[in-house]
Amino acid sequence: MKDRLKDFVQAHRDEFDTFTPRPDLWQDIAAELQQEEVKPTMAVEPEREAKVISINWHHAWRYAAAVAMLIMVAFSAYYYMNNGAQPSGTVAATQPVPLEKIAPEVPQLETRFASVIEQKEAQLREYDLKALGMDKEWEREAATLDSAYTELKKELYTTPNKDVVVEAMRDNLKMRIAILNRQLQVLENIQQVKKQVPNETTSI
Amino acid sequence: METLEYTDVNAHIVARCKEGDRKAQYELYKLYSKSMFNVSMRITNDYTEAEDVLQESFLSAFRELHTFKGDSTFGSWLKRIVINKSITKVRSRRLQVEPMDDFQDFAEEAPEYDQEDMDYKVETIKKAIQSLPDGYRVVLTLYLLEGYDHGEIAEILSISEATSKSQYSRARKKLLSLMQEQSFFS
Repeated sequence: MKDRLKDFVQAHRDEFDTFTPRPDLWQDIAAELQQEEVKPTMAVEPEREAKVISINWHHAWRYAAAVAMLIMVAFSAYYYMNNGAQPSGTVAATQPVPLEKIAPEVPQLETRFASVIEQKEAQLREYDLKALGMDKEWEREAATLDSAYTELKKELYTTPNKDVVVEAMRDNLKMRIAILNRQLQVLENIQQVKKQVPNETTSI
Repeated sequence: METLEYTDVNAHIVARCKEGDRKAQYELYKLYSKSMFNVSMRITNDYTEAEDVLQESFLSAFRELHTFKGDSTFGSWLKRIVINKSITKVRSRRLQVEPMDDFQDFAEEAPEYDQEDMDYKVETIKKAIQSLPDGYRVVLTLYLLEGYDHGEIAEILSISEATSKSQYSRARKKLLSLMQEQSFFS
């Protein structure tokens, strides 16, 4: 039996595919694939290794921050147990003092790193991170580092052991540069692969 | 010949995907996401569910890529994944609202329409497909749009070939009557 409806549909088949998924769905897929890859970290090729390390950095600094926090808590606890009774011990912590007086090295540190970070971020922005599904990952890492840095800066005003905090802040800034470098390297690799392989297109 | 060429081009990208090449995976996504999304849209009839299906399908395709032996094209392999996941969604949804009875007969039979009189329009057909009951819609789109024959549909839905045929014929009648209503009201 001739099915006129079927013939018509077949003739206009392409016109039936009118829906489009949300544009950032690929990022979610890529992020999940990335997570799965991180688990088996052994035996990876150079390009993938770069990506994996960038995640490990992410973890490493977290551990570093956690350890720094623990040390700070321990120090403060120790300090307050010994000096808690003396009011002079807490006065300094509650009064607003300019940062320069507490840790003159911090503003220096910030200006020194800021220009490098800015330059790398500008380089990174030249790539179409969204298309590669890397923008979210990068945003997340940057945001976590930012908030940790702000926390550390607050910590400076109350900590009895500012050297530890300043050291953690310096590590935070260094980590940021390291991550930026990793990202740039990954992007460069991708760019090279792109050049080697001409665009393949097919119809479905 | 065209099919052969098409398989070859994909085979190259698929090989790179097997090595976890993210760029190659993105190539396949770009190539297939839209059509696969529409396949799932037609079965689930739900934008959010179709997006979930699309995401899950690409993830499991990349995960299970080593099981893809290349005896079909990557596209048709992926399409089967999308269809299976979409059907699971529809079935679990039906389970939530009513007892599972996938392909129940609809008692009221639509009256016969003289289809030769009918002037088909893509828009009208699409709208009518969207208003079909789940069971009808699935069989009808698999047959009309996804290009499966009744034997294949029977296998996909675990029903008999005869059921697929009768279900399609009922779905088709219902569709035509829905189209008639639409043109009446417009």
